[in-house]
Amino acid sequence: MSDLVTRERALLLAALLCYFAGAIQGLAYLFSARRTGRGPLLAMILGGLAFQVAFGAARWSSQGSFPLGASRGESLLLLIFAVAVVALVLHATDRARAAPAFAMPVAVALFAGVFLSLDRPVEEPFRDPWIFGHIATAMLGYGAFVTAFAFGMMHLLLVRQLRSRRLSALAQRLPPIETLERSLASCLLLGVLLLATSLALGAAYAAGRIALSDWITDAKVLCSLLTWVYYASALAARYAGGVTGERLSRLAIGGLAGVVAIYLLTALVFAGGHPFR
Amino acid sequence: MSASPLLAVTGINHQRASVALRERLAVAPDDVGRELARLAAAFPGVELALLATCNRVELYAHDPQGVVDAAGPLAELARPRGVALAELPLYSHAGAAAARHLFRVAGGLDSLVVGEHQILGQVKEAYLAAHAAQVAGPVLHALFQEALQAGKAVRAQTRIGEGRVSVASVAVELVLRVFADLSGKTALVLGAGETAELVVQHLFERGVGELIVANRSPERASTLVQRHGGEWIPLPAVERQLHRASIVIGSTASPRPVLEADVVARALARRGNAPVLLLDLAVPRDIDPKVADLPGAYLYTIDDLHEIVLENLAAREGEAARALALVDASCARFEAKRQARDARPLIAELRRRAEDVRAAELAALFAKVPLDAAARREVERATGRIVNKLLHAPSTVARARAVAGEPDGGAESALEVLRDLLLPHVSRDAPASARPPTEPEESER
Repeated sequence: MSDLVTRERALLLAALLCYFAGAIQGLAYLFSARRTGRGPLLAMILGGLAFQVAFGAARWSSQGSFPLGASRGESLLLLIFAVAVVALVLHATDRARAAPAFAMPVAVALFAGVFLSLDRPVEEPFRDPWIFGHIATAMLGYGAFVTAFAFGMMHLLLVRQLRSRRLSALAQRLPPIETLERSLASCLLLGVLLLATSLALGAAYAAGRIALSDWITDAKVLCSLLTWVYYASALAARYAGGVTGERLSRLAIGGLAGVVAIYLLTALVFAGGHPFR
Repeated sequence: MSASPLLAVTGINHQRASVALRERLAVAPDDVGRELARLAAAFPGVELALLATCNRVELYAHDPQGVVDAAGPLAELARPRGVALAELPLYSHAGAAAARHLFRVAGGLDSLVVGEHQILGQVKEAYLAAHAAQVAGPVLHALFQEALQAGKAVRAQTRIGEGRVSVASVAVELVLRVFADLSGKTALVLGAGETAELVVQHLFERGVGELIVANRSPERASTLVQRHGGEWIPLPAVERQLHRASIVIGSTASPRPVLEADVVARALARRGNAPVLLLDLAVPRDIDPKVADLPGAYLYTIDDLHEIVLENLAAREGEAARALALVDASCARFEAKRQARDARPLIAELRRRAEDVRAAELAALFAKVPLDAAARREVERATGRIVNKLLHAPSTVARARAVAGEPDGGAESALEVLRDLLLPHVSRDAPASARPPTEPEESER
């Protein structure tokens, strides 16, 4: 955090606190015996988004370039932003009012990665429009996988409620099974397309600049490819193999666990960004 | 809590009277306005409102003269129907109890099914009818407004209205937990029982797409098919058509299951494992219990539905305490507003008399002392300010004491009341010597 000015740090902390409060509100909506209003939750998420935007503006002003790609932390912030926007829209439009209960805790957890890596700038050559597109589509793709995780969790929770032959208040606060299955499949499809785009942009950037042998064996590239293959296989199983319902939800939930593990692996063991010269 | 002796309610409801008795006093929704007009002509000056539903007939009355209670207008309501009130098991409440009763009714706490939503709309209709008939005055206006707020608060802040409490509505709620949009869905009914018919009716109210009725003969299926459209198929053809159905309702009298697990598994595979909800309302069961283990199949028996109904009823009862707390808060608010309203005429009269005295003294002064227009205006303004300042404290204290009600069971002396009204800044315990002299001693005049 040494390169952050105090104002930027305060804005990030404020965003984190708002998202944390939003996560608590989301869980309260799902599990509280009392009825909870929509207003506080929406206000918290909107507040977090506003602080993130303010951070982005401050960062842009201090470093002279759009705050994406200068460090891994900035990339993660885009992912968090996408997750929060989706949770907000799903809750506000009643499509999945329970979504923040699952998505916002993930967003809060991702802040750990932000604070750990925000002060690790990548090398100068990566501050490039191609790389912006590469990182942005990757983060949005992972955002779709986080949303798929949220839908998968809701689906399993509702299935468990229905299989217990009961109709609890919790079951009534979750979207219908059909909505959850359809939304989960849509998120997987979106995530696979975005991640494919990200990989293609990265490959297009690398062609002619970086030796194939260097980047094709890069740990981070391999891990991203593995992620893509995993989710693409889940999607194929859904549309061609008839894998639906609980099995697909478990694939989505397991997938996110894998993505998190991969991220930690590349961040901690392989020292972060692509080690190209 | 102090009570207003002028507000009253008298009525009959499902708790005290059977439908045979209630229907003798029933008033059709379209007739409420006409009846109110008739009652208003018989009881001029009395505020009236009539709440008439299938479970209750209640008449609310407020007589500013304190003479007429609700029993008189109710007797007049019953007279053309040939009903004597003595024949009916009525209940009556007066004052704050009448207000509390209406707030409980609006909150669904007095309903046949606790927490039901319909009653709030019916209370609103009763108020609108009284307003349209011009028989609701300021007291009933305030009463019904507070009742509607109480009803909304109970439903917004508690879960008393949540959870379905009939088998058919629970069944439909389960359908909606599985399927978001029923318009493209097909419901398959095996047999044709009464509960199944109710469920189908609810499903069509929610927009279900198609109906297939499987029965031994088309005649048995005719009621459902005629009412909702759809097609009849013989029971042996169910296996071939099962894959079309997203909702399956079992309601035959068959001694053995009509749908075995392997048949359902094949249908699920043909549907691409899209979810299916199976409601087995039959005893003996129509659907093999092993179906519940199939992925994508959700099976509920009639016992499961009854269990859910009982749980929901218990949950509603559990919310009643919190709902009652909200009702009590509404009662307190209504009573405070009523008390404050009572103080207004007194304060207005006090000011009027003060102004009369001021006007008379000014007239006498101007007759004796010639003053130009500017000087007169200044004198009028100064005396006006004197009157306002002198009356400000008594007005404020009177309003506050009206809201607070009688302290200490009314043990205050007239002198203490006068001191509070005219000298609120002086403590009752301050010695007389501590107060500055305001009146000259008799010997000094």
